[in-house]
Amino acid sequence: MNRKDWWILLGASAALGAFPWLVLPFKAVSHYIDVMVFAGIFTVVALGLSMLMGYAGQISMAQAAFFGVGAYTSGILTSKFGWPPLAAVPMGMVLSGGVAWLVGIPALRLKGHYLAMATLGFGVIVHIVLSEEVEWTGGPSGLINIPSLRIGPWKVSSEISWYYLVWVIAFLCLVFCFHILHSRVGRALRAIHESEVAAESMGVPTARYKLQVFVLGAAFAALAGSLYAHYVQFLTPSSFNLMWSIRFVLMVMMGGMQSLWGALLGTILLTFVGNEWLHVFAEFEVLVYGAILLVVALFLPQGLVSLVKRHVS
Amino acid sequence: MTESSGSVAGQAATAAPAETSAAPLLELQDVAMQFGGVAALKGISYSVGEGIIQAVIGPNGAGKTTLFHCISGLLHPTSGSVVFNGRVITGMVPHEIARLGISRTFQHVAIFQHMTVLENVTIGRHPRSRFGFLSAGLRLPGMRREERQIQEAARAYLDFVGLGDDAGFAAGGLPLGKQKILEIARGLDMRETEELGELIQRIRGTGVTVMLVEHDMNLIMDISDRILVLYYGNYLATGTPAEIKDNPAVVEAYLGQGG
Repeated sequence: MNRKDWWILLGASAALGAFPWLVLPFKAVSHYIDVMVFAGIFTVVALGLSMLMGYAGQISMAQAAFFGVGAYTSGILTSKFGWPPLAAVPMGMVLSGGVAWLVGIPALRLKGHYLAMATLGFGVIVHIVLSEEVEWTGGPSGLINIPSLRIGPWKVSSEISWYYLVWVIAFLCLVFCFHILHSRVGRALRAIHESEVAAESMGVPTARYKLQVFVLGAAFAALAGSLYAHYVQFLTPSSFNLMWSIRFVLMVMMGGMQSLWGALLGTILLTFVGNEWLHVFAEFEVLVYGAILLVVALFLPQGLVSLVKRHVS
Repeated sequence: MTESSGSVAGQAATAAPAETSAAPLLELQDVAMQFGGVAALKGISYSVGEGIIQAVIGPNGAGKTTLFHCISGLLHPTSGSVVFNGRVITGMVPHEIARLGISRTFQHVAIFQHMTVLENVTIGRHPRSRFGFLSAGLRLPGMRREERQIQEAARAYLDFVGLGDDAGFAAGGLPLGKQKILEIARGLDMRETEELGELIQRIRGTGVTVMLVEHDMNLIMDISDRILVLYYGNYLATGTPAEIKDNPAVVEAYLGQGG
């Protein structure tokens, strides 16, 4: 991370740290804490996806599925097998990463957007499994009795402790990603994004890197899924369908694909938009997302961060 | 390999030990490349010795680029084999070949435009460094040490080719001549045409073998130790610049039958 990013991180931490104290006193907006917990969870997904889309140039339409794999792994292991949540979380990440590896091997060896196609299919399959394997997942009626997170003696239960926990994790993930980007791995990813032929000629194993970053994104999504499971304590398949995968892609695009800060910004914005303001559209919500996607792609291809950058400089 | 300004140029750069064994560094054994009904290379056999500047020339369509593609693994020859340092490399993918010590640049400058000049050179160190996602994300001590070495080496190469002052700029913003030099610094692992020639000779001085394709005959004649001439996929001639200049077959190939 360079100095500028550390300063932004410091500023963002201060703002997010102060946020609860600003909204809690006001009843009308006090539920924003809850919205921001979700935003923090989704940020982890968006960061992984941003690495894949912005830096390796691949699109995944299955982030909601990996999110679901993490959530249901945590949910099933803790509610049905009595695993401690902290042991279930890495299990979900390993499982999700493993599945991503299997899906990615054939898809990423091909050029172009075959990964998007393969993940589209994979996402649908996961959704069907979650709905049909009633014995394990509870099916459409849901998986219940998921305990809250417990870290040592600390049982994370109140909204405000979830808020801080989730955002600390999100920022750790952010720093993790920044460190990757400022290493030989990150440079290799960006080289692949610019020209696969040239990168390959410089000795960068392009297929392997694309696969690894895809696995990383899946593991991040699973981590977020586990947090989601323990926070909501109730899972239904509809939280992990294609619409959610599209939303994750949109979060990354809206903020700015080539920027981790963009992923953060886009996620917070879209989570608020989705939770607070789009309900009035009911079934037409999809259309609104489509419109947002179109506007961003046409007028702001570099995302919202490009607006910020333009104003600063 | 490097491909040079306005032309195809390639250079095999290797850090191979400077043994003075008789075995050639790079050996082409009856390499042929067929595209459908078109034979781009019709069985070329040739050896490149170590530590020399080897030029490959020939009129358009002679098969120079195809030959370089076959060496660097972008194409797999239809028949025949390429042997590098005693090892058959035919069939390997480009990054594996790069790892063995052959690095290549392209006719059209293929630097990474949106990365800085320094970052472009650090990419050249990729095959010789090893840390991955986890150690990078956690910034483990070993990874930080390696990163420092990568940065130092890259800066040294930039200074070597005279681009030290441009390190922080986006590579795409450099003038074309400098981009070409950057590409070489990147392929090196360790200025316009005239400067380019000078640079290539300095590179040979470090024990690296250079193989290049270039249409600028003055440059070729000035700096090459050996020249290989291709003509419509066939081997035509080989020799020192002086020998090639006086070879009637070469003169005819370049000037046509009327000459």
